[in-house]
Amino acid sequence: MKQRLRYLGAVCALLLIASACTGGDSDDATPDSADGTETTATTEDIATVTTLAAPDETGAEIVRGGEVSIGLVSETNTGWYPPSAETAFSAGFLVMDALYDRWFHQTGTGEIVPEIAAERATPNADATEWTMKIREGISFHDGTPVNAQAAADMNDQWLAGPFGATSSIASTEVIDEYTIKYVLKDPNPAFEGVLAGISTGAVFSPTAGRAFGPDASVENPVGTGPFVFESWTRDSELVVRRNDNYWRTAPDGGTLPYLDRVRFRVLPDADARLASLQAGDISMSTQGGVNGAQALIDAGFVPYESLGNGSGIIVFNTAKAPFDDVRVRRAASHALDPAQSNAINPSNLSGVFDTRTQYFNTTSEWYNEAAGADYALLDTDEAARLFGEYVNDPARSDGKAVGEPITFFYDCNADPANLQTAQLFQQEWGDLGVEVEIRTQEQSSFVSQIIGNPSEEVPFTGDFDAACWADGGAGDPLEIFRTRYGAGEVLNWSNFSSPDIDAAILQLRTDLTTEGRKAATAEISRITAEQMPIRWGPSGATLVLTIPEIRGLETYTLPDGSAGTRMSGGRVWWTEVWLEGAVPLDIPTGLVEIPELPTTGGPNADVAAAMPPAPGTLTAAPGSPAGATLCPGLETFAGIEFITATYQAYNGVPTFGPFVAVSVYELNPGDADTILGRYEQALVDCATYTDSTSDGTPLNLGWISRDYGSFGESTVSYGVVGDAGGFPIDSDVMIIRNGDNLAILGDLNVGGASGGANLTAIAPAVADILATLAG
Amino acid sequence: MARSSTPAPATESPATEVEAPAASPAQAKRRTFGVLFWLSLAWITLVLLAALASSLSHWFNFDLPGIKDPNRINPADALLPVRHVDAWLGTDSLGRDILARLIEGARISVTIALITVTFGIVVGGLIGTAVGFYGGWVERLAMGAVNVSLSFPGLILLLGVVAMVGSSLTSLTVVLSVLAVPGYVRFARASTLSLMQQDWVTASSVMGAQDRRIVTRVLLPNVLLTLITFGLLALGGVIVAEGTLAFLGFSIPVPQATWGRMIAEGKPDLDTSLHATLVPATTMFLTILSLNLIGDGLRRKYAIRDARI
Repeated sequence: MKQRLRYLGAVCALLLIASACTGGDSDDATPDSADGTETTATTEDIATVTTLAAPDETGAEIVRGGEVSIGLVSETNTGWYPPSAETAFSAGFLVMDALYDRWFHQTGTGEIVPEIAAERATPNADATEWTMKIREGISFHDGTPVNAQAAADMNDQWLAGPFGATSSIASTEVIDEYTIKYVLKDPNPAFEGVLAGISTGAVFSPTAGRAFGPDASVENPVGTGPFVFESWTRDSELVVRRNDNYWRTAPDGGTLPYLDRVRFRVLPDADARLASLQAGDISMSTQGGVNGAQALIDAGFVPYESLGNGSGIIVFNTAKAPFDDVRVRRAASHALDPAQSNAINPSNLSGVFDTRTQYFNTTSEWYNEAAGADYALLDTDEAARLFGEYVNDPARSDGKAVGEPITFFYDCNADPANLQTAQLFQQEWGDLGVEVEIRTQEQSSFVSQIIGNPSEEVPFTGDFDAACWADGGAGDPLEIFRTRYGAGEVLNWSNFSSPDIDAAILQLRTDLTTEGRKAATAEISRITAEQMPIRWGPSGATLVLTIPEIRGLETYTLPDGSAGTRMSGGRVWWTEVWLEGAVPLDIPTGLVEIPELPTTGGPNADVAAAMPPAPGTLTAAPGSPAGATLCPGLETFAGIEFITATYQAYNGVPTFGPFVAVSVYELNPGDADTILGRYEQALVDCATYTDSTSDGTPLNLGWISRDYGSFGESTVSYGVVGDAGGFPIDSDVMIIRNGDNLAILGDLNVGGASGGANLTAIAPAVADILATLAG
Repeated sequence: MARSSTPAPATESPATEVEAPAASPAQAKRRTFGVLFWLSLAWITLVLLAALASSLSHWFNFDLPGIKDPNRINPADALLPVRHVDAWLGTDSLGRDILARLIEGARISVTIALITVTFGIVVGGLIGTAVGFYGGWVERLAMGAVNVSLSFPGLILLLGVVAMVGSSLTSLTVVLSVLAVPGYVRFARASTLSLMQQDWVTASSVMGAQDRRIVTRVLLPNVLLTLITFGLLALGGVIVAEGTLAFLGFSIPVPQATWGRMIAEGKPDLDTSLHATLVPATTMFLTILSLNLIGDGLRRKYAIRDARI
């Protein structure tokens, strides 16, 4: 008993980190990509599901009604509107699964099954266009129908969302009432996976989103899912009630879901969560890992454990000494004994752990044993040799004298289990003469520190040497590797990239054969095993603990009626969960009421009225290129380093006349007017305009918004975007098209601190743009 | 002399005739310290010795004989019970020797507590005595500031400051020291005001003693005595404050052992391995109790001595 209890899980902690890091990427990263939703072990993993002592569900008679209350690991700070939320991360997916259905459902084995889509989507020859048929007769919680137009509207809001710049969808086309075509920017043979993502695939009401506006919509989620939003008290409780119009029916022909109500209780402290479960405050608990669970299992609580692809990792910052030297990375990995860390913090209930050598573990079809042959496993002699080689290298990258010990910081969040593991690592490195200092930080600043920000010399380098982190989703390798090893990518925590990996990523994108894509994946696994930008820990289990009366967690009926295996990552398919001895509750029924859509007025009208009249001509700034090139000429301006799109809410009917303007947010009232007054407006015609970011990522800026939202206000709340995961989006210039009009917005320091600081840097560039446009 | 009227609050009045009647059996009894006092003193001496030994080994970089490395992690030896053959006081969840960590933690607790209280006594005592003696707008200003700072919830303030400046032994000590000063100022002022009601203080003034002489020769020595007893009691408070911070995860960086961190680290194993929490908690409890008992004993002593002046 003592032996067992001494196992205090790191996994939980690591998953907390996972939620942290992914919380971060929700800001700037790739909503369209599988990785955005599937970075962590808490999300959709292809994995085996091990169930210990699960109740026998055969023969029991299902009853309807009742209420389940589940303890969540963390709050989802950005709210519940899929385009703007970090909902795929942390514990948010449990709520998302209750509120929203997805276009497609990805089974535990990675198979795609249509959900709101009527059938599998069909790609064109090079997988750049996907046509999807939508199931007929489904309506949102607000009563509006789910059809192709709604899908297109969702997509436009999506594109205008915080992820817009990296969205893989270029445009949509409504073919008929229930058929939509997605046109992608790049080929993606696994695009259906995006439409199955926790957030990226969520089917939400565009009408409700527009009616509530950017701020209120995050607190008023409207989907098609089995449960309807009832109330949300931030950091405390979110309540959902049964959707009495749910489109699916039970095997017995009756209604679904079975439960009347689900309460999601935010209980960040793992011990407190277990104590609440034991005390009966909650009836279910999600545990990141297996910490402290054994006592409750012994006491009769039922564990549902699933081993996913997620893993606690060490990220080496390959952009900084000493980990810019592969010898140090390999030595640091050779030095660590997984058996020791697993003894302190077991990765699962069994105590047996696996050895990871690559992104995908053995349960995945993308796993390739041979590719991991070079991985730096435990070998202290080799570690000592490599450390020694570096220490005695006169050209060592950290610039220290020969013989001086290697020193570095190991960063971690303040989670106790993580800190235990960190101290073990510190000792194991210390035994080889490496001086390591552990730094801990509160979660969100930790995440910002590791991820970094776009204004760094190489964007998103982060400020760290090595850090505890988590990774390992089960998405398609294309999106995973593109984001993990692309130069300047937000999710490239290790800052590692190479031409060979780029070539393999290109193959993943263009080669539509499974063999070719597997070979490319294996090549990336081989390179990363040899270069060790990341050191993998054992695959971690996630655990859901329940009282024995909660049933229906084990089986799952797929939308097409066939039996599905429960997915891993601690997900709960609420539709078929039921409670023994439940009685029907008195719950509200009917549709969700949404506000009337705004038609006129609002901030746009005020701003339009305040704008100075459009001048007939503009004079070009000295040295500007000829105006004849118009939009294509824009890219010649060196001053524009980072052109991106930022979320502008669809906040009503567009009211602007044609103009070009510069707006600066996050200034004091009056400052914005001053800036507006400084730049004049002009009528332009620039139907489509393509540019690229400083690192060469192509950006299509012709599409972004049909409305300037609350443009012109001096302070704008970007809560839905700004603080997701704790680091700001920092856009220097934003270009918005509205029909034939083009708006240039400067310095959208959304949620950022620099405010006017960038303004002076950006003003000349914007002036050049204006001059060119007017040219 | 700047002030002669304002009646002082009678808190901790250092010397009164009532408290020290002429020789009697009761007085004789009060003059002895009692068993508890000496036990407490023995315990504190032990803690101080441990802290000293730990400091020496830290400064001069040698291992204490018979004591294990307090930071050596060994998962195979995790949570050994108390009186285990390899570990007198057992091991924690990482297999580190609890005795060794207690000794290491003593260094932190003693360092922080001594520096903080000394700083408080010196700085707070000087300010408090001065403002108490001179009065006027200086006093109103100083006491206003003191009252404002004392009306903040201490722990929240502490957490905020530590979160801002980061936590290391130095920063923690500085922050605790600065935050401690207002309490001493108030206490020293109260003592000063009370002393100034005494006839012998008035007498020295009447006899023509200058302000400086009154403050340094008459007031300060007497204020100091009461401040020291106050400080002895406050030592416990400082140790608890560090423990609270450590428990909340805001103390000195890992793997440095502190008593508060040891309690926090033992928490998850409370069900099965009570000792990992109980041993450091008991150590902290005994230390604080001892400090209080010693403080009490000394205060009674001082009362008698004051009466004889």
